[in-house]
Amino acid sequence: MGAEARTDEDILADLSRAAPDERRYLADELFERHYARVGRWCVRITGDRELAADVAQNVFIKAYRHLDDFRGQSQFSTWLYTIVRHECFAQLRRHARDPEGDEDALVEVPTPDDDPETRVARASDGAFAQQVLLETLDATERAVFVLHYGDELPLDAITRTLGLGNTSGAKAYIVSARRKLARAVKRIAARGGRL
Amino acid sequence: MTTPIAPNGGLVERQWQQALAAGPSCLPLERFAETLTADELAHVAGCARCQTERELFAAYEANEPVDGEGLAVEWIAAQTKRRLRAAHDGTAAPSVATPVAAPRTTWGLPSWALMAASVAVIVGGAALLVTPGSEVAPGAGGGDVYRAARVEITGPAGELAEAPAQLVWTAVAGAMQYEVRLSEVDGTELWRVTTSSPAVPVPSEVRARALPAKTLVWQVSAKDAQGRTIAESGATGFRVRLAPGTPGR
Repeated sequence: MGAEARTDEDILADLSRAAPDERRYLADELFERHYARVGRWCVRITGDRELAADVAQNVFIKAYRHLDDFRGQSQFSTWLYTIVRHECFAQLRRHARDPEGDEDALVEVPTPDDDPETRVARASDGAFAQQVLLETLDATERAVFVLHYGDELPLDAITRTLGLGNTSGAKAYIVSARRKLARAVKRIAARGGRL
Repeated sequence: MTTPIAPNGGLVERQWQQALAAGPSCLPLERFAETLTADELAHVAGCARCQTERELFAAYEANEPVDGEGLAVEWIAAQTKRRLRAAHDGTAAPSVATPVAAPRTTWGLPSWALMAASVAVIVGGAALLVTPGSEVAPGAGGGDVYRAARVEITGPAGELAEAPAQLVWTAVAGAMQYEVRLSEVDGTELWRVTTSSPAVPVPSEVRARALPAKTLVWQVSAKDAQGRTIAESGATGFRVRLAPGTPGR
């Protein structure tokens, strides 16, 4: 079987049987297939070539360290993605800024319960707010909203990561999302807390 | 009915945080590569977090190049390959992207990276404490590795009587800026600075990190007007020698 025909899983199988001295060569062969994809993702998230190289390096160091933990329940590329995602987002959180365009607080979503304790409990579990999100925002607005407020990703990183091609990128979606949510909340309040 | 309050003020923050966070029923990322079951599809349909993760994963899998990023991606891939080979070959420890003030990574380094770091420590007086012009070149011996032109280090290098007041190198034609990185031998970055001159003063708080007998490593990258790396130095080590009579000497 030629080297080109070998799958990631073939190499991993060889790795599991390899002598310690051979492991690094096999790991090299395996990782080489993924350098560009991981690098592309890292530079989109970080927006900085040097930082992206640092993060990509950390991804592969971590992957190497945990290769023995990989049990093949998913494809290797999928497993590697979980590391890439974690490392990239962790890197951004280290340099976390406040969400942009956040002059006004996010509005509270009213719930139909009159009992204050129940109301707080429902609001705290986020279920009602989630429902409002799903019914109010389109798919792109939702993704931008989740990544910006849930993961604290800067808007420019979201623009690159989701490949948003409009002029102002994620900024337009976050503005639109907030506007829609504010209108939805007013409507819900007027209906006594019902969707 | 609505009570807008500060984002960090309690109820509002909690309800949105909970709505946006991954819950116990959310799918592990690996599932998005597979065909979802009916139950999983039903969950995703009602979960903004899982919908977003699915979209992110799809973008990663698609791996579609975007205009203008090709060179950066090639450079990052080459850097990653070069650094990992350098670690394999024991010629230099990789520089781990850990902020100066952050705790060390909790996951540690793989055996070959630890080996590389150990080699650097053990032979610190030989491999890293070299004379200017014979720096340890990351990737040396690695064969097919990325190399930019060389920035020649003037100093400091080797054993020093005291912590250096400045770092000096030879100017590179076409360089508009130089990025200087100072690290511990295991790659932990202590200081990074950009300057337009072929020398940079070392701040007192950084000098204080140069403890006697502790080897530190520094590197310079020369950048052109577009911020592209046009030349790099190797990793050059120095350490402050222990004073005579110091315990452990």
